Amino acid sequence: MEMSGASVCIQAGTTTELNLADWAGANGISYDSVVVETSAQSLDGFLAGRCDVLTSDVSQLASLRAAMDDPDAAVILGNVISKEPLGPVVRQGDDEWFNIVKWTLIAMIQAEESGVTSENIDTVTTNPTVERLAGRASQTHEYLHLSPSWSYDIIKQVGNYGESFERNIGVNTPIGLSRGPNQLWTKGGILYAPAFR
Amino acid sequence: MKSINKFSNLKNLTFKELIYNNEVRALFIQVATVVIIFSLFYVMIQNLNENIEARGIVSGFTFLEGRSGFDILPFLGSYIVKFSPNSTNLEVFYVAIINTFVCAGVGIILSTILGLLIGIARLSSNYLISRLSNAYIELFRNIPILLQILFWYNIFLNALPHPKKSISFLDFIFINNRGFYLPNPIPQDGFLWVFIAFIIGVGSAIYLKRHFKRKQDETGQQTNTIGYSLALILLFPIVVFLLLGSPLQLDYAILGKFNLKGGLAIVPEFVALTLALSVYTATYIAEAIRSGIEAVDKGQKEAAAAIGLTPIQSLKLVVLPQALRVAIPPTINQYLNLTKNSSLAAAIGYPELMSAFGGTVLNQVGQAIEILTMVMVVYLVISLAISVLLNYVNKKMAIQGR
Repeated sequence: MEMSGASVCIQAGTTTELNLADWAGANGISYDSVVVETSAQSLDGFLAGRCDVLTSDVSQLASLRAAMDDPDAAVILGNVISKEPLGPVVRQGDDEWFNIVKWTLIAMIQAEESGVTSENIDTVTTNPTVERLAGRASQTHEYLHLSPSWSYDIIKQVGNYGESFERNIGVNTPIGLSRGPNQLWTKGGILYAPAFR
Repeated sequence: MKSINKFSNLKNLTFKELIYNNEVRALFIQVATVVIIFSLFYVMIQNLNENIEARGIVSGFTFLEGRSGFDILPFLGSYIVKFSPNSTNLEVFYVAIINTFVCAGVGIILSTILGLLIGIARLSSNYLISRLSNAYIELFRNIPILLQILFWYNIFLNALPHPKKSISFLDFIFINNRGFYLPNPIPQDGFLWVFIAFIIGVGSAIYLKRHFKRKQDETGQQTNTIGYSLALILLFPIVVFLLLGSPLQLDYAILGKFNLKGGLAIVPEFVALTLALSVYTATYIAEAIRSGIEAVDKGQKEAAAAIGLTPIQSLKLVVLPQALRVAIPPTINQYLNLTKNSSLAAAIGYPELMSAFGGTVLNQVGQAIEILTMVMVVYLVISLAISVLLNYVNKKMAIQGR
Protein backbone atom coordinates (compact mmCIF):
# COMPACT_ATOMS: atom_id res chain seq x y z
CA MET A 1 0.00 0.00 0.00
CA GLU A 2 2.83 2.35 0.84
CA MET A 3 4.10 1.95 -2.69
CA SER A 4 1.02 3.40 -4.38
CA GLY A 5 1.83 6.07 -6.94
CA ALA A 6 5.49 5.13 -7.28
CA SER A 7 7.37 4.80 -10.55
CA VAL A 8 8.77 1.30 -10.96
CA CYS A 9 11.69 0.31 -13.21
CA ILE A 10 11.21 -3.08 -14.87
CA GLN A 11 13.02 -5.04 -17.53
CA ALA A 12 10.86 -5.59 -20.62
CA GLY A 13 9.45 -8.98 -21.44
CA THR A 14 10.19 -10.62 -18.09
CA THR A 15 7.94 -12.59 -15.77
CA THR A 16 8.68 -9.82 -13.26
CA GLU A 17 6.70 -7.45 -15.45
CA LEU A 18 3.69 -9.78 -15.27
CA ASN A 19 4.11 -10.54 -11.55
CA LEU A 20 4.19 -6.85 -10.69
CA ALA A 21 0.99 -6.14 -12.64
CA ASP A 22 -0.75 -9.12 -10.99
CA TRP A 23 0.38 -8.19 -7.51
CA ALA A 24 -0.41 -4.49 -7.86
CA GLY A 25 -3.81 -5.28 -9.37
CA ALA A 26 -4.67 -7.72 -6.57
CA ASN A 27 -3.64 -5.21 -3.90
CA GLY A 28 -5.19 -2.16 -5.52
CA ILE A 29 -1.85 -0.41 -5.92
CA SER A 30 -1.33 2.05 -8.75
CA TYR A 31 2.11 2.62 -10.22
CA ASP A 32 3.85 4.01 -13.31
CA SER A 33 5.90 1.34 -15.04
CA VAL A 34 9.17 2.46 -16.60
CA VAL A 35 10.02 -0.43 -18.90
CA VAL A 36 13.58 -0.74 -20.18
CA GLU A 37 15.41 -3.25 -22.32
CA THR A 38 18.15 -4.55 -20.03
CA SER A 39 18.62 -4.94 -16.30
CA ALA A 40 21.64 -2.61 -16.44
CA GLN A 41 19.35 0.08 -17.86
CA SER A 42 16.83 -0.49 -15.09
CA LEU A 43 19.60 0.10 -12.57
CA ASP A 44 20.66 3.27 -14.43
CA GLY A 45 17.08 4.54 -14.32
CA PHE A 46 16.83 3.74 -10.63
CA LEU A 47 20.11 5.48 -9.84
CA ALA A 48 19.20 8.54 -11.90
CA GLY A 49 15.91 8.82 -10.02
CA ARG A 50 13.69 8.01 -12.99
CA CYS A 51 11.93 5.47 -10.77
CA ASP A 52 11.41 5.08 -7.05
CA VAL A 53 11.44 1.30 -7.05
CA LEU A 54 13.32 -1.32 -9.02
CA THR A 55 11.80 -4.77 -9.27
CA SER A 56 13.31 -8.08 -10.34
CA ASP A 57 14.18 -11.50 -8.94
CA VAL A 58 15.63 -11.27 -5.42
CA SER A 59 19.02 -12.65 -6.43
CA GLN A 60 19.09 -10.23 -9.37
CA LEU A 61 18.25 -7.33 -7.06
CA ALA A 62 21.02 -8.40 -4.71
CA SER A 63 23.58 -8.45 -7.49
CA LEU A 64 22.39 -5.10 -8.89
CA ARG A 65 22.58 -3.60 -5.40
CA ALA A 66 26.12 -4.93 -5.04
CA ALA A 67 27.00 -3.15 -8.29
CA MET A 68 25.91 0.23 -6.91
CA ASP A 69 28.53 2.75 -5.77
CA ASP A 70 26.79 2.90 -2.42
CA PRO A 71 24.88 -0.36 -1.82
CA ASP A 72 23.61 0.90 1.53
CA ALA A 73 21.64 3.62 -0.22
CA ALA A 74 19.11 1.03 -1.40
CA VAL A 75 17.09 -1.54 0.49
CA ILE A 76 15.70 -4.82 -0.78
CA LEU A 77 12.16 -5.01 0.54
CA GLY A 78 11.24 -8.11 2.53
CA ASN A 79 7.97 -9.10 0.92
CA VAL A 80 8.68 -11.33 -2.04
CA ILE A 81 5.76 -11.16 -4.46
CA SER A 82 6.35 -14.20 -6.63
CA LYS A 83 8.10 -17.52 -6.93
CA GLU A 84 11.06 -17.35 -9.27
CA PRO A 85 13.26 -20.37 -8.58
CA LEU A 86 16.53 -20.25 -10.48
CA GLY A 87 18.73 -23.24 -11.20
CA PRO A 88 20.97 -24.88 -13.76
CA VAL A 89 19.42 -25.20 -17.21
CA VAL A 90 20.36 -27.64 -19.98
CA ARG A 91 19.16 -28.08 -23.53
CA GLN A 92 16.31 -30.52 -23.96
CA GLY A 93 17.06 -33.90 -25.51
CA ASP A 94 20.56 -34.45 -24.09
CA ASP A 95 19.75 -36.79 -21.20
CA GLU A 96 23.32 -37.70 -20.41
CA TRP A 97 24.35 -34.09 -19.92
CA PHE A 98 21.15 -33.43 -17.96
CA ASN A 99 22.04 -36.30 -15.59
CA ILE A 100 25.53 -34.97 -15.04
CA VAL A 101 24.28 -31.48 -14.17
CA LYS A 102 21.48 -32.86 -11.99
CA TRP A 103 23.82 -35.17 -10.05
CA THR A 104 26.42 -32.44 -9.61
CA LEU A 105 23.81 -30.43 -7.71
CA ILE A 106 22.68 -33.52 -5.75
CA ALA A 107 26.26 -34.27 -4.74
CA MET A 108 26.81 -30.70 -3.52
CA ILE A 109 23.61 -30.64 -1.46
CA GLN A 110 24.24 -34.14 -0.05
CA ALA A 111 27.77 -33.13 0.88
CA GLU A 112 26.49 -30.21 2.91
CA GLU A 113 23.90 -32.39 4.59
CA SER A 114 26.55 -34.98 5.46
CA GLY A 115 28.96 -32.32 6.70
CA VAL A 116 31.50 -32.94 3.98
CA THR A 117 33.46 -29.86 2.94
CA SER A 118 36.35 -29.15 0.61
CA GLU A 119 38.63 -29.13 3.61
CA ASN A 120 37.63 -32.32 5.38
CA ILE A 121 36.81 -34.52 2.41
CA ASP A 122 40.23 -36.22 2.54
CA THR A 123 39.84 -37.11 6.19
CA VAL A 124 36.20 -37.76 7.10
CA THR A 125 35.02 -41.34 6.85
CA THR A 126 32.04 -41.56 9.07
CA ASN A 127 29.45 -43.42 7.07
CA PRO A 128 28.81 -45.07 3.70
CA THR A 129 27.25 -41.96 2.17
CA VAL A 130 30.37 -39.95 2.91
CA GLU A 131 32.48 -42.76 1.52
CA ARG A 132 30.49 -42.63 -1.69
CA LEU A 133 30.74 -38.83 -1.89
CA ALA A 134 34.48 -39.09 -1.51
CA GLY A 135 34.48 -41.38 -4.53
CA ARG A 136 35.11 -44.65 -2.77
CA ALA A 137 32.92 -47.75 -3.09
CA SER A 138 30.46 -46.02 -5.41
CA GLN A 139 28.94 -47.02 -8.72
CA THR A 140 27.39 -43.69 -9.62
CA HIS A 141 30.21 -42.82 -11.98
CA GLU A 142 29.30 -45.81 -14.15
CA TYR A 143 25.78 -44.54 -14.75
CA LEU A 144 26.99 -41.04 -15.41
CA HIS A 145 29.96 -42.13 -17.56
CA LEU A 146 32.32 -40.06 -15.44
CA SER A 147 35.53 -40.83 -13.61
CA PRO A 148 35.09 -42.59 -10.20
CA SER A 149 36.29 -39.48 -8.38
CA TRP A 150 33.72 -37.13 -9.96
CA SER A 151 31.94 -36.14 -6.75
CA TYR A 152 35.24 -35.95 -4.86
CA ASP A 153 36.58 -33.59 -7.52
CA ILE A 154 33.57 -31.28 -7.28
CA ILE A 155 33.64 -31.02 -3.50
CA LYS A 156 37.40 -30.75 -3.34
CA GLN A 157 37.48 -27.94 -5.85
CA VAL A 158 34.36 -25.83 -5.23
CA GLY A 159 33.09 -27.23 -1.94
CA ASN A 160 29.59 -28.30 -0.93
CA TYR A 161 26.45 -26.28 -1.72
CA GLY A 162 26.71 -24.17 1.41
CA GLU A 163 30.37 -23.36 0.89
CA SER A 164 29.75 -22.35 -2.71
CA PHE A 165 26.73 -20.24 -1.72
CA GLU A 166 28.55 -18.40 1.05
CA ARG A 167 31.62 -17.83 -1.10
CA ASN A 168 29.77 -16.38 -4.08
CA ILE A 169 26.54 -14.73 -2.93
CA GLY A 170 26.32 -15.27 0.84
CA VAL A 171 25.96 -12.69 3.61
CA ASN A 172 29.68 -11.99 3.73
CA THR A 173 29.93 -11.20 0.04
CA PRO A 174 29.00 -7.88 -1.59
CA ILE A 175 25.77 -9.48 -2.81
CA GLY A 176 24.90 -10.42 0.76
CA LEU A 177 22.06 -12.92 0.29
CA SER A 178 20.96 -15.02 3.25
CA ARG A 179 20.11 -18.67 2.62
CA GLY A 180 16.33 -18.23 3.04
CA PRO A 181 14.50 -21.09 1.31
CA ASN A 182 17.87 -22.16 -0.12
CA GLN A 183 18.61 -23.73 3.27
CA LEU A 184 18.75 -27.51 3.65
CA TRP A 185 15.46 -29.29 4.39
CA THR A 186 16.95 -30.38 7.71
CA LYS A 187 17.38 -26.72 8.65
CA GLY A 188 14.01 -25.38 7.56
CA GLY A 189 14.75 -24.75 3.89
CA ILE A 190 13.58 -26.62 0.81
CA LEU A 191 16.85 -28.09 -0.48
CA TYR A 192 16.57 -31.86 -0.58
CA ALA A 193 18.86 -34.38 -2.23
CA PRO A 194 17.65 -37.91 -2.94
CA ALA A 195 19.71 -40.83 -1.60
CA PHE A 196 23.22 -40.62 -2.99
CA ARG A 197 23.84 -44.08 -4.35
CA MET B 1 4.53 -3.23 -83.00
CA LYS B 2 8.04 -4.52 -82.68
CA SER B 3 7.54 -5.89 -79.21
CA ILE B 4 4.54 -7.95 -80.17
CA ASN B 5 6.29 -9.54 -83.10
CA LYS B 6 9.54 -9.86 -81.25
CA PHE B 7 9.60 -13.65 -81.22
CA SER B 8 7.60 -14.33 -84.36
CA ASN B 9 10.66 -14.87 -86.49
CA LEU B 10 12.23 -17.30 -84.03
CA LYS B 11 10.27 -20.25 -85.38
CA ASN B 12 12.56 -20.58 -88.34
CA LEU B 13 15.78 -20.64 -86.31
CA THR B 14 17.78 -23.77 -85.59
CA PHE B 15 18.47 -24.79 -81.99
CA LYS B 16 21.98 -23.40 -82.12
CA GLU B 17 20.80 -20.09 -83.45
CA LEU B 18 18.19 -20.05 -80.71
CA ILE B 19 20.85 -20.39 -78.01
CA TYR B 20 22.87 -17.53 -79.42
CA ASN B 21 19.85 -15.28 -79.88
CA ASN B 22 20.08 -12.29 -77.55
CA GLU B 23 16.37 -11.93 -76.92
CA VAL B 24 15.90 -15.59 -76.12
CA ARG B 25 18.87 -15.51 -73.82
CA ALA B 26 17.61 -12.44 -71.97
CA LEU B 27 14.22 -14.05 -71.52
CA PHE B 28 15.81 -17.24 -70.25
CA ILE B 29 17.89 -15.36 -67.65
CA GLN B 30 14.88 -13.44 -66.40
CA VAL B 31 12.74 -16.55 -66.05
CA ALA B 32 15.59 -18.38 -64.30
CA THR B 33 16.06 -15.52 -61.82
CA VAL B 34 12.38 -15.48 -60.93
CA VAL B 35 12.31 -19.27 -60.52
CA ILE B 36 15.40 -19.28 -58.30
CA ILE B 37 14.12 -16.47 -56.07
CA PHE B 38 10.72 -18.07 -55.67
CA SER B 39 12.14 -21.49 -54.93
CA LEU B 40 14.46 -19.99 -52.31
CA PHE B 41 11.48 -18.36 -50.64
CA TYR B 42 9.51 -21.57 -50.94
CA VAL B 43 12.26 -23.61 -49.28
CA MET B 44 12.63 -20.98 -46.56
CA ILE B 45 8.93 -20.92 -45.71
CA GLN B 46 8.73 -24.72 -45.90
CA ASN B 47 11.66 -24.99 -43.49
CA LEU B 48 10.14 -22.44 -41.19
CA ASN B 49 6.84 -24.32 -41.00
CA GLU B 50 8.58 -27.61 -40.36
CA ASN B 51 10.74 -26.17 -37.59
CA ILE B 52 7.81 -24.42 -35.97
CA GLU B 53 5.86 -27.66 -36.02
CA ALA B 54 8.80 -29.66 -34.70
CA ARG B 55 9.09 -27.36 -31.71
CA GLY B 56 5.39 -27.50 -31.03
CA ILE B 57 4.90 -23.75 -31.41
CA VAL B 58 1.30 -22.83 -32.03
CA SER B 59 1.30 -20.24 -34.77
CA GLY B 60 -1.51 -17.86 -35.56
CA PHE B 61 -2.89 -14.62 -34.25
CA THR B 62 -4.98 -15.87 -31.34
CA PHE B 63 -2.48 -14.33 -28.90
CA LEU B 64 -3.86 -10.92 -29.88
CA GLU B 65 -7.04 -11.65 -27.93
CA GLY B 66 -5.11 -12.81 -24.88
CA ARG B 67 -4.73 -10.69 -21.75
CA SER B 68 -1.50 -8.71 -21.89
CA GLY B 69 -0.89 -8.92 -18.14
CA PHE B 70 1.71 -6.14 -17.99
CA ASP B 71 1.67 -2.40 -17.73
CA ILE B 72 2.96 0.25 -20.13
CA LEU B 73 4.61 3.57 -19.36
CA PRO B 74 1.63 5.93 -19.16
CA PHE B 75 1.62 8.27 -22.13
CA LEU B 76 -0.84 9.35 -24.82
CA GLY B 77 -1.33 5.86 -26.28
CA SER B 78 -2.22 4.38 -22.89
CA TYR B 79 -4.53 7.30 -22.09
CA ILE B 80 -6.40 7.07 -25.39
CA VAL B 81 -6.79 3.27 -25.33
CA LYS B 82 -7.37 3.34 -21.52
CA PHE B 83 -4.76 0.65 -21.12
CA SER B 84 -4.48 -1.61 -18.08
CA PRO B 85 -2.87 -5.03 -17.49
CA ASN B 86 -6.30 -6.50 -18.26
CA SER B 87 -6.18 -5.13 -21.80
CA THR B 88 -5.47 -7.50 -24.67
CA ASN B 89 -2.28 -7.77 -26.67
CA LEU B 90 -4.15 -6.19 -29.58
CA GLU B 91 -4.67 -3.11 -27.43
CA VAL B 92 -0.93 -3.03 -26.76
CA PHE B 93 -0.56 -2.89 -30.54
CA TYR B 94 -2.89 0.12 -30.70
CA VAL B 95 -1.11 1.87 -27.83
CA ALA B 96 2.21 1.26 -29.57
CA ILE B 97 0.98 2.58 -32.92
CA ILE B 98 -0.44 5.73 -31.32
CA ASN B 99 2.83 6.36 -29.48
CA THR B 100 4.79 5.86 -32.71
CA PHE B 101 2.54 8.29 -34.56
CA VAL B 102 2.68 10.91 -31.81
CA CYS B 103 6.47 10.79 -31.79
CA ALA B 104 6.74 10.82 -35.58
CA GLY B 105 4.15 13.59 -35.95
CA VAL B 106 5.70 15.93 -33.40
CA GLY B 107 9.17 15.05 -34.70
CA ILE B 108 8.20 15.90 -38.29
CA ILE B 109 6.75 19.29 -37.30
CA LEU B 110 9.72 20.23 -35.11
CA SER B 111 12.36 19.05 -37.58
CA THR B 112 10.67 20.94 -40.42
CA ILE B 113 10.62 24.23 -38.51
CA LEU B 114 14.16 23.76 -37.26
CA GLY B 115 15.44 22.54 -40.64
CA LEU B 116 13.87 25.45 -42.49
CA LEU B 117 15.38 28.01 -40.11
CA ILE B 118 18.82 26.40 -40.09
CA GLY B 119 18.79 25.88 -43.86
CA ILE B 120 18.04 29.55 -44.50
CA ALA B 121 20.46 30.70 -41.79
CA ARG B 122 23.16 28.52 -43.37
CA LEU B 123 23.08 30.82 -46.42
CA SER B 124 22.87 34.02 -44.43
CA SER B 125 25.31 36.76 -45.37
CA ASN B 126 25.93 37.22 -41.64
CA TYR B 127 29.18 35.38 -40.99
CA LEU B 128 28.35 34.33 -37.42
CA ILE B 129 24.87 33.01 -38.24
CA SER B 130 26.00 31.02 -41.25
CA ARG B 131 28.99 29.56 -39.38
CA LEU B 132 26.83 28.61 -36.40
CA SER B 133 24.26 26.87 -38.60
CA ASN B 134 27.06 25.07 -40.35
CA ALA B 135 28.47 23.94 -37.01
CA TYR B 136 25.02 22.74 -35.95
CA ILE B 137 24.60 20.70 -39.11
CA GLU B 138 28.06 19.17 -38.97
CA LEU B 139 27.76 18.34 -35.29
CA PHE B 140 24.36 16.68 -35.18
CA ARG B 141 24.48 15.07 -38.60
CA ASN B 142 27.69 13.24 -37.84
CA ILE B 143 26.80 11.68 -34.49
CA PRO B 144 24.88 8.39 -34.64
CA ILE B 145 21.23 8.91 -33.81
CA LEU B 146 21.13 6.17 -31.16
CA LEU B 147 23.89 7.94 -29.27
CA GLN B 148 22.01 11.22 -29.45
CA ILE B 149 18.85 9.63 -28.07
CA LEU B 150 20.77 8.18 -25.13
CA PHE B 151 22.54 11.52 -24.65
CA TRP B 152 19.34 13.56 -24.39
CA TYR B 153 17.70 10.95 -22.20
CA ASN B 154 20.56 10.93 -19.73
CA ILE B 155 20.65 14.72 -19.73
CA PHE B 156 17.00 14.75 -18.71
CA LEU B 157 17.43 12.11 -16.03
CA ASN B 158 20.51 13.61 -14.49
CA ALA B 159 20.17 17.36 -14.99
CA LEU B 160 16.56 17.74 -13.93
CA PRO B 161 15.56 17.55 -10.26
CA HIS B 162 13.70 14.85 -8.37
CA PRO B 163 9.87 15.27 -8.33
CA LYS B 164 10.00 16.60 -4.76
CA LYS B 165 12.20 19.45 -5.96
CA SER B 166 10.38 20.08 -9.22
CA ILE B 167 11.03 23.31 -11.06
CA SER B 168 7.64 24.98 -11.13
CA PHE B 169 6.30 27.94 -13.04
CA LEU B 170 3.58 29.61 -10.94
CA ASP B 171 2.41 26.14 -9.78
CA PHE B 172 1.15 25.81 -13.34
CA ILE B 173 3.85 23.86 -15.15
CA PHE B 174 6.21 21.49 -13.36
CA ILE B 175 9.46 20.09 -14.66
CA ASN B 176 11.36 17.22 -13.07
CA ASN B 177 13.21 14.11 -14.18
CA ARG B 178 9.94 12.17 -14.47
CA GLY B 179 8.70 14.52 -17.16
CA PHE B 180 7.01 17.80 -17.96
CA TYR B 181 3.70 18.28 -16.21
CA LEU B 182 1.21 20.61 -17.85
CA PRO B 183 -2.34 21.32 -16.71
CA ASN B 184 -4.66 18.83 -18.31
CA PRO B 185 -7.52 20.71 -20.02
CA ILE B 186 -10.86 19.01 -19.46
CA PRO B 187 -13.54 20.49 -21.77
CA GLN B 188 -16.88 21.16 -20.09
CA ASP B 189 -20.33 21.64 -21.64
CA GLY B 190 -20.29 24.35 -24.23
CA PHE B 191 -16.63 24.05 -25.15
CA LEU B 192 -17.77 22.82 -28.54
CA TRP B 193 -18.94 26.37 -29.31
CA VAL B 194 -15.46 27.74 -28.67
CA PHE B 195 -14.11 25.17 -31.08
CA ILE B 196 -16.74 26.13 -33.67
CA ALA B 197 -15.85 29.80 -33.14
CA PHE B 198 -12.21 28.92 -33.81
CA ILE B 199 -13.12 27.12 -37.05
CA ILE B 200 -15.25 30.07 -38.17
CA GLY B 201 -12.35 32.40 -37.25
CA VAL B 202 -9.87 30.42 -39.33
CA GLY B 203 -12.35 30.20 -42.22
CA SER B 204 -13.05 33.90 -42.35
CA ALA B 205 -9.36 34.76 -41.94
CA ILE B 206 -8.61 32.67 -45.04
CA TYR B 207 -11.49 34.35 -46.89
CA LEU B 208 -10.24 37.78 -45.88
CA LYS B 209 -6.72 36.96 -47.03
CA ARG B 210 -8.06 35.86 -50.41
CA HIS B 211 -10.19 38.97 -50.68
CA PHE B 212 -7.25 41.30 -50.14
CA LYS B 213 -5.08 39.22 -52.44
CA ARG B 214 -7.66 39.68 -55.19
CA LYS B 215 -7.78 43.38 -54.42
CA GLN B 216 -4.00 43.54 -54.71
CA ASP B 217 -4.09 41.70 -58.02
CA GLU B 218 -6.67 44.14 -59.36
CA THR B 219 -5.51 47.45 -57.95
CA GLY B 220 -1.97 46.81 -56.75
CA GLN B 221 -2.98 48.11 -53.31
CA GLN B 222 -1.42 46.11 -50.49
CA THR B 223 -3.19 45.48 -47.19
CA ASN B 224 -1.57 43.97 -44.14
CA THR B 225 -3.95 41.24 -42.93
CA ILE B 226 -2.06 40.01 -39.86
CA GLY B 227 -4.10 42.15 -37.46
CA TYR B 228 -7.43 40.99 -38.88
CA SER B 229 -6.31 37.36 -38.94
CA LEU B 230 -5.15 37.41 -35.32
CA ALA B 231 -8.41 38.99 -34.22
CA LEU B 232 -10.47 36.42 -36.09
CA ILE B 233 -8.46 33.35 -35.13
CA LEU B 234 -7.58 34.18 -31.52
CA LEU B 235 -9.72 37.01 -30.20
CA PHE B 236 -13.05 35.75 -31.52
CA PRO B 237 -12.82 32.27 -29.86
CA ILE B 238 -11.52 33.88 -26.66
CA VAL B 239 -14.48 36.23 -26.51
CA VAL B 240 -16.85 33.30 -27.10
CA PHE B 241 -14.98 31.36 -24.43
CA LEU B 242 -15.38 34.13 -21.87
CA LEU B 243 -19.03 34.78 -22.80
CA LEU B 244 -19.83 31.12 -22.14
CA GLY B 245 -18.22 31.41 -18.71
CA SER B 246 -14.89 29.64 -19.38
CA PRO B 247 -16.15 26.10 -20.10
CA LEU B 248 -12.76 24.49 -19.60
CA GLN B 249 -11.48 22.99 -16.38
CA LEU B 250 -7.76 22.64 -15.85
CA ASP B 251 -6.49 19.63 -13.95
CA TYR B 252 -3.25 20.71 -12.30
CA ALA B 253 -0.49 18.38 -11.25
CA ILE B 254 0.06 18.13 -7.50
CA LEU B 255 2.82 16.43 -5.58
CA GLY B 256 1.91 12.98 -4.30
CA LYS B 257 4.07 10.74 -2.15
CA PHE B 258 6.41 9.69 -4.95
CA ASN B 259 5.32 11.53 -8.06
CA LEU B 260 3.28 14.43 -9.26
CA LYS B 261 -0.31 13.35 -9.65
CA GLY B 262 -2.79 14.49 -12.26
CA GLY B 263 -2.09 17.02 -14.97
CA LEU B 264 -0.84 16.10 -18.39
CA ALA B 265 2.51 14.35 -17.99
CA ILE B 266 4.93 14.33 -20.91
CA VAL B 267 7.43 11.60 -20.08
CA PRO B 268 11.18 12.23 -20.52
CA GLU B 269 11.44 9.20 -22.82
CA PHE B 270 9.15 10.94 -25.30
CA VAL B 271 10.88 14.30 -24.96
CA ALA B 272 14.34 12.78 -25.38
CA LEU B 273 13.37 10.63 -28.36
CA THR B 274 11.44 13.34 -30.19
CA LEU B 275 14.07 15.97 -29.51
CA ALA B 276 16.91 13.73 -30.67
CA LEU B 277 15.03 12.70 -33.82
CA SER B 278 14.05 16.30 -34.61
CA VAL B 279 17.50 17.74 -34.05
CA TYR B 280 19.09 14.99 -36.12
CA THR B 281 16.59 15.02 -38.97
CA ALA B 282 16.59 18.85 -39.06
CA THR B 283 20.21 18.76 -40.22
CA TYR B 284 19.23 16.79 -43.31
CA ILE B 285 16.19 18.97 -43.94
CA ALA B 286 18.38 22.07 -43.58
CA GLU B 287 20.74 20.69 -46.22
CA ALA B 288 17.77 19.93 -48.48
CA ILE B 289 16.49 23.49 -48.05
CA ARG B 290 19.95 24.88 -48.70
CA SER B 291 20.36 22.87 -51.88
CA GLY B 292 16.89 24.04 -52.92
CA ILE B 293 17.76 27.68 -52.38
CA GLU B 294 21.09 27.32 -54.12
CA ALA B 295 19.34 25.69 -57.06
CA VAL B 296 17.38 28.91 -57.66
CA ASP B 297 19.17 30.94 -60.27
CA LYS B 298 21.02 33.98 -58.94
CA GLY B 299 19.26 36.10 -61.55
CA GLN B 300 15.95 35.49 -59.79
CA LYS B 301 17.17 37.17 -56.62
CA GLU B 302 18.75 40.00 -58.57
CA ALA B 303 15.55 40.51 -60.52
CA ALA B 304 13.54 40.54 -57.28
CA ALA B 305 15.91 43.17 -55.87
CA ALA B 306 15.70 45.13 -59.09
CA ILE B 307 11.92 45.51 -58.85
CA GLY B 308 12.32 46.76 -55.28
CA LEU B 309 11.44 43.74 -53.16
CA THR B 310 13.04 43.62 -49.71
CA PRO B 311 15.29 40.59 -48.95
CA ILE B 312 12.49 39.03 -46.86
CA GLN B 313 9.95 39.56 -49.64
CA SER B 314 12.38 38.21 -52.18
CA LEU B 315 12.89 35.09 -50.07
CA LYS B 316 9.21 34.59 -49.40
CA LEU B 317 7.79 35.42 -52.81
CA VAL B 318 10.52 34.51 -55.25
CA VAL B 319 13.18 32.21 -53.84
CA LEU B 320 11.37 29.83 -51.47
CA PRO B 321 8.53 28.84 -53.81
CA GLN B 322 11.12 27.75 -56.35
CA ALA B 323 13.50 26.31 -53.77
CA LEU B 324 10.81 24.12 -52.21
CA ARG B 325 10.27 22.39 -55.54
CA VAL B 326 13.79 21.00 -55.23
CA ALA B 327 13.76 20.65 -51.44
CA ILE B 328 10.47 18.88 -50.81
CA PRO B 329 11.24 15.39 -52.19
CA PRO B 330 14.39 14.90 -50.04
CA THR B 331 12.57 16.44 -47.08
CA ILE B 332 9.73 13.94 -47.31
CA ASN B 333 12.32 11.17 -47.49
CA GLN B 334 13.64 12.50 -44.19
CA TYR B 335 10.15 12.31 -42.69
CA LEU B 336 10.20 8.66 -43.68
CA ASN B 337 13.59 8.19 -42.04
CA LEU B 338 12.44 9.93 -38.89
CA THR B 339 9.45 7.62 -38.61
CA LYS B 340 11.61 4.55 -39.08
CA ASN B 341 14.27 5.84 -36.67
CA SER B 342 11.61 6.17 -33.97
CA SER B 343 11.99 2.41 -33.54
CA LEU B 344 15.26 3.17 -31.75
CA ALA B 345 13.05 4.15 -28.80
CA ALA B 346 13.56 0.62 -27.55
CA ALA B 347 16.90 1.85 -26.20
CA ILE B 348 15.28 4.20 -23.71
CA GLY B 349 11.98 2.43 -23.16
CA TYR B 350 9.54 4.77 -24.89
CA PRO B 351 6.60 2.42 -25.53
CA GLU B 352 6.32 2.68 -29.32
CA LEU B 353 5.72 -0.07 -31.86
CA MET B 354 9.12 -1.75 -31.79
CA SER B 355 9.59 -1.43 -28.06
CA ALA B 356 6.15 -2.20 -26.57
CA PHE B 357 4.79 -4.56 -29.21
CA GLY B 358 7.89 -5.90 -31.00
CA GLY B 359 9.73 -6.10 -27.68
CA THR B 360 7.58 -6.74 -24.64
CA VAL B 361 4.68 -8.62 -26.26
CA LEU B 362 7.12 -10.65 -28.36
CA ASN B 363 9.00 -11.69 -25.24
CA GLN B 364 5.84 -12.51 -23.33
CA VAL B 365 4.02 -14.61 -25.95
CA GLY B 366 6.95 -15.72 -28.12
CA GLN B 367 5.09 -15.45 -31.46
CA ALA B 368 8.11 -13.87 -33.15
CA ILE B 369 7.10 -14.33 -36.77
CA GLU B 370 3.54 -13.07 -36.39
CA ILE B 371 4.52 -10.07 -34.27
CA LEU B 372 7.47 -8.97 -36.38
CA THR B 373 5.35 -9.35 -39.50
CA MET B 374 2.72 -7.05 -37.99
CA VAL B 375 5.38 -4.51 -37.04
CA MET B 376 6.91 -4.66 -40.50
CA VAL B 377 3.52 -4.22 -42.15
CA VAL B 378 2.84 -1.10 -40.09
CA TYR B 379 6.18 0.49 -41.00
CA LEU B 380 5.65 -0.55 -44.62
CA VAL B 381 2.19 1.05 -44.71
CA ILE B 382 3.59 4.27 -43.22
CA SER B 383 6.44 4.30 -45.73
CA LEU B 384 4.21 3.60 -48.69
CA ALA B 385 1.75 6.27 -47.57
CA ILE B 386 4.60 8.79 -47.41
CA SER B 387 5.75 7.66 -50.87
CA VAL B 388 2.29 8.25 -52.28
CA LEU B 389 2.30 11.70 -50.69
CA LEU B 390 5.74 12.35 -52.17
CA ASN B 391 4.61 11.41 -55.65
CA TYR B 392 1.53 13.60 -55.31
CA VAL B 393 3.59 16.59 -54.16
CA ASN B 394 6.12 16.00 -56.91
CA LYS B 395 3.43 16.04 -59.53
CA LYS B 396 1.85 19.13 -58.04
CA MET B 397 5.16 21.00 -57.79
CA ALA B 398 6.53 19.99 -61.16
CA ILE B 399 7.32 22.89 -63.44
CA GLN B 400 4.32 23.39 -65.70
CA GLY B 401 5.27 23.13 -69.35
CA ARG B 402 4.53 26.43 -70.98
